[in-house]
Amino acid sequence: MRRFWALFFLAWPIVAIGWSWMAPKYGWWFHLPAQSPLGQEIDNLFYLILVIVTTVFVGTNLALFYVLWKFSDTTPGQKGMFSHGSHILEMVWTVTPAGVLLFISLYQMDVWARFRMVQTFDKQALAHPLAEVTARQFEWRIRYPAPGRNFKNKAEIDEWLKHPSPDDIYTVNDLHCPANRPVLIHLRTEDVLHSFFIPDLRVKQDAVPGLVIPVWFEASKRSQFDLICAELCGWGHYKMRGRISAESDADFAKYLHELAKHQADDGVPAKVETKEGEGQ
Amino acid sequence: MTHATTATPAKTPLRMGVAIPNGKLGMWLFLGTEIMFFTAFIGTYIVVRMGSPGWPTDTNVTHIKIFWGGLNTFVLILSSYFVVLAHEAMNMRKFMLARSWVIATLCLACLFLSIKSYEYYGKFDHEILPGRIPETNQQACEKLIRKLDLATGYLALEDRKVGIERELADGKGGDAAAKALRDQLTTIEAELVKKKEIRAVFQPFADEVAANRAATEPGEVKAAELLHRVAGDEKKKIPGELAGWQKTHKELASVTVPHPILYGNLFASTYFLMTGFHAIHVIVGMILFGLVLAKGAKLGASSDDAVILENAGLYWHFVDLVWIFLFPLVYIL
Amino acid sequence: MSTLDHAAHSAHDHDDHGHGGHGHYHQPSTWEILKALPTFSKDHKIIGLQFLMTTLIMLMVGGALALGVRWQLAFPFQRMPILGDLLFRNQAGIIAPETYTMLFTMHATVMIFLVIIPILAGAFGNFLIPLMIGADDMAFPLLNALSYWAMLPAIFFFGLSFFFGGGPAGGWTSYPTLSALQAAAPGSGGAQTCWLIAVTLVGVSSMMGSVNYMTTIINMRAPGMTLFRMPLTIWAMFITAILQAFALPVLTAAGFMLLSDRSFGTCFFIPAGIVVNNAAPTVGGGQTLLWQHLFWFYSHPAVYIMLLPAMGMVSDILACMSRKPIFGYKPMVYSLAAIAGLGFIVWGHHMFTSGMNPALGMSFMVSTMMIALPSAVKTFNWIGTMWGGRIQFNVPMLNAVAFVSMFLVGGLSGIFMAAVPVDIYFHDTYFIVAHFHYVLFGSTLFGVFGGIVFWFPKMFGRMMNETWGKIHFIITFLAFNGTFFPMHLLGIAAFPRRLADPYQYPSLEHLLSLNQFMTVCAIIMGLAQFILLANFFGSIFCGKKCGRNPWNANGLEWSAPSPPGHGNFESLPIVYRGPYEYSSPLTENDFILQTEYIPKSAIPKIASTGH
Ligand code: HEA
Ligand code: HEA
Ligand code: CUA
Ligand SMILES: [Cu+2]
Repeated sequence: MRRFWALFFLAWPIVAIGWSWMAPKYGWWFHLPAQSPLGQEIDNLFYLILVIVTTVFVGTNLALFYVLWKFSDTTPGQKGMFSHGSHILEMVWTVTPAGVLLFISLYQMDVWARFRMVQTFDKQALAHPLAEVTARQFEWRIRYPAPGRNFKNKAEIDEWLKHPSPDDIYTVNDLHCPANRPVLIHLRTEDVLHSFFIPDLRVKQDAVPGLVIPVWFEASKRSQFDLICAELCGWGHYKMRGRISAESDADFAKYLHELAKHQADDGVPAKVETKEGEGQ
Repeated sequence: MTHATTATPAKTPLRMGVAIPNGKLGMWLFLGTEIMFFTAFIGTYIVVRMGSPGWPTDTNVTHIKIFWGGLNTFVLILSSYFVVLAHEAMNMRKFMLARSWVIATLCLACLFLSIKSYEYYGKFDHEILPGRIPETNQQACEKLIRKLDLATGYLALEDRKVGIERELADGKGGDAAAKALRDQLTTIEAELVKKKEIRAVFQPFADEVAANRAATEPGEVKAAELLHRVAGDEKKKIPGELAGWQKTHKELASVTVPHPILYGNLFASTYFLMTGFHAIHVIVGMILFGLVLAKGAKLGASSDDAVILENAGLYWHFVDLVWIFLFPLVYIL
Repeated sequence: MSTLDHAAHSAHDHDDHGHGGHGHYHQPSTWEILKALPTFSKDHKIIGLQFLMTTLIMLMVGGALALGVRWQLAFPFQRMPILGDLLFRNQAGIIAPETYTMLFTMHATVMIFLVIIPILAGAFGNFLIPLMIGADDMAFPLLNALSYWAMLPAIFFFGLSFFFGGGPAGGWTSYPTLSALQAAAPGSGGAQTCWLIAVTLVGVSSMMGSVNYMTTIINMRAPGMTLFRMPLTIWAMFITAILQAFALPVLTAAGFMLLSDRSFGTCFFIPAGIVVNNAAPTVGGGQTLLWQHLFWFYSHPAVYIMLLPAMGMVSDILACMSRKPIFGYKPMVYSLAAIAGLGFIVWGHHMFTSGMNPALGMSFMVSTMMIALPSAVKTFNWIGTMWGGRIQFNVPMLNAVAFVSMFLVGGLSGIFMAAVPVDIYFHDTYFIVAHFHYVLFGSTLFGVFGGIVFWFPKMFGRMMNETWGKIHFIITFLAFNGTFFPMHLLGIAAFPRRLADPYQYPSLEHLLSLNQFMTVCAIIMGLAQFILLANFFGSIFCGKKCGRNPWNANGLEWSAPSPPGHGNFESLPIVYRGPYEYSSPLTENDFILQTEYIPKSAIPKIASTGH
């Protein structure tokens, strides 16, 4: 019985590690490995930290188990060791983690910079924004510039963001994009906070009232991905579901034209020509 | 790290701690929390102001009264000085003298508040109030229309009419009451007709504004010229449409043209937030001094009266200090 | 008690509430204590117990709400048995989406503002501080009483909020504009207003508490109780009070701003042109992110407010039950201070994906990582404390050890999220939920359970039942891990927080079974808490009677009678050494009360060479 508790406190970390080990088998793990280059780097970071942390976890738990096992000795009349600690040890277990953690945090910087710092964004993607995505309770509104529209400069893009132009193409909850190359959307919201979350691409960005935030991602596979709203936005938060379809450039161009046609049809026919005209 | 295991009971002080009475120490700590409280407000102010290019600073627009603000600063500093005198008098056991200095402080506090309320009055007068300030020409136009309608009393009548009709609908109180109501209704409708023709004079303007709003993207330019057309131009002595309307209908005489203030609402919000909470603190300070005075002639009878006065004084200096930060931030910068 | 002979009997300065000297020392009976509970008492022990009882009841409430949450996650939109029929009969016992948002919002609110914070600072702080530093009461007894009675209106307003639009539903973080615009959601109307008022009141309560604690600890220590002879519990309480005092006003201020945004047309957090539910677009140009900064500037330090006191108590329990001096007393103190200090500059790690300046993100990442260092010192020092001791596995010890091993998990999961890029993925997934339940429940609540059992003898002069204590511990520990460990895996599978029905996403469907398992564990854990209650209230009346120092501990509180009478000590205690001199060679027995005077002559030679 004396040793029972030592084993008790050892047992559960073992279970925990075993559990996590089995987890992927049962799908209790990443739905897919990251489907985007940056996402892969994020995964690598995750696994790196996982290794470090697991080491610490195992080490500390073993130490804990050892003391509980060895010193659970309660023979009467005995005294414990009379020591007030050791400065050397303190130093050791301050400096070592310090090193580890500094390494972790510095190692991260570059990935973060590439995800968020506009200076590092792909110039091509910046110059040709894929779409403006406007979140609202409880849907994603998508506005593509007219097919083949070229923005001369940043100013023109900003203008386009402020004032929609009549030939824009609108759709809801279904964002199509060309695969295998960085694409950039301008994220905004009409009412409350939302968050643009594509798990498989490891992309997440809050949509903040009053801000327009450029978000880029690159799907390295032609496929469809869930778009989840990850910031509480009211009672309908749970059903604010979208879809990302990454497809070949040709398919994407085709999709846009279809959309444009469909949108123009129920307008004044005259418009169609102009659209087609611009289209080429 | 060794504990003094060999300590002797000799000459240990009766209690550990600093040589400050609890009350005073507590007050200092409390003031620390107060500082954080105002830091949050001031921080907010700095952040929103930095984040708002074109923050209104022109005092003609914001109706900030630098002179009065400055005067108030002086008043508070002087009052702080009086508190010091009161405190000294207390220590010299000249209780009645202390008392009169406290009274003097209270008077200055009242003066401060009255100046403050005069300033506030100015703000209310020009509707420099959070949520009430048009920030675009379009909003200004719409607000003008609302003001005109209010002036004519058109809206008020409409409401009353609806009210009476509802009463009639659920018709309690028998025929007599119903009849009375119907009479009222007829009179109201008669008046409404009159009002309607007043409204007729600025109806076209109202329509244009509405049209401008309905436009796919509200045209600020259009709104601007609409506003200008109505307002005219004081400098060039060109009377606007409004002047014309006011000539024909004196009901409109009181109406003035609202001018858009970019970030006006945010300005008003921060202004009232900071000065408002400061004013509340002033009042609390006055209550503290009130407690001292409440002792009346018995002031100084108990030893902790001095402590109470000192703490009240500490608090007052803090209130003063906060203002010394607020004044340049809100009034001058 | 050699103490008493040496204590200077004259010493009764600082008698703030003037019950004169302690000539008439009267030790209350259990019955007298219970009678005093519903009264407006100014005695710190009574106030402490009042806090304790209230928060235990609130734990029930918060837990019941949590079980509502769990139910929905295991059986989405299906009739909920007992609780469901009780709470939402009008919805046929089915949890509607807006109800779900309300459930986790109020669950978190209750647990944080009405359980963890008040049970640590309010209950233990009040009961222990004067006893452990040898004061006869708090510096400001009246203020102290008020700080408890200010809780009740807060509870009232939280309760009231349920009656508007189904209760507040903005999450406990209540981010604008969802929380700022009345039309944004059913719960964003009156409910949100009540919520804000209540939070402000809780704030006022802790405010009064913290100023009181700081003054007391600084100024009312018994003779000889130097700063570095204070138990770590007291250090933790002291540092926590400082955190409270300087972080809380910011939240209060932000709360006022949000209230006036809602009620007086200001626009601090509301940008221009926002349209909710086709209401008129907003005017004015506020900044939503500002709220998040202000909120987290308080709420991150708050998470340490919810941890440090538990750390202190655990340190005391570990040292006592290992019969060994705490390992590295001063490093323990400094690490507490370091955690608190760093706690003020890491708030941004809650906002990595919020769209704030990315450069800020980097600096916040580094500072957050650094917080792991003082935590490391603590973790390893605890193990060092047990090393070479004579560990007694009684209930307080078990809970304390559980604290250590759970804090390890919670802390380490924090490292993942501290890494910005990884947090891009983990933010607002169940990985976060796993993290903070491991630190909040796994660490703090286990620490609290330990503390309750450890100091129960001092509260009522009786022991709690050992066997039932162990049963409660085992069930809670296992059920806890069963409930919350899988959340890490859910998080890795991108299972999002705050979703009423995540299973509509094909990629998440298969996680239902796992969630059902967690829910079962949660219910077991919930029921287990009844054992605690039964044990607690049962032992008040029929626990084994005990003397002043049942654990053979060193702390000052153990030299007072249990339960101590009004004024705590028969006479002013004098302190001769730190609280962790266990197994010291100075005496035969393996403990020396801080108040025990050992004349030089009686000190064996080894002492001079000792340690
Ligand atoms: C008691 C409460 C508590 C405590 C102590 C902590 C401790 C920590 N927390 Fe946590 N946290 C919360 C309560 C707490 N947290 C809550 C409630 C939330 C969610 C709020 C919400 O969104 O609703 C949250 C959210 C939260 C986030 C935001 C996640 C997101 O929303 O995206 C982050 C990100 O960095 C974070 C990090 C940390 C870190 C690094 C620590 C560190 O202090 C941990 C340090 C400890 C250790 C690391 C273990 C011991 C150390 C060693 C054994 C040394 C060796 C270790 C290494 C070398 C790695 N926490
Ligand atoms: C100290 C803080 C604390 C504590 C102790 C707990 C305890 C528990 N919490 Fe949590 N929780 C939070 C703080 C806490 N929580 C916070 C801050 C959030 C974030 C909210 C947000 O997103 O805004 C959260 C969110 C949260 C979620 C995520 C909801 C979501 O995002 O969708 C879940 C889901 O499982 C959960 C579950 C639980 C459970 C099962 C317990 C269990 O440990 C509870 C067990 C205890 C009891 C049950 C008490 C005993 C009760 C009784 C005996 C009476 C009734 C019981 C029965 C009828 C059986 N909590
Ligand atoms: Cu949109 Cu949640
Ligand atoms: Cu945090």
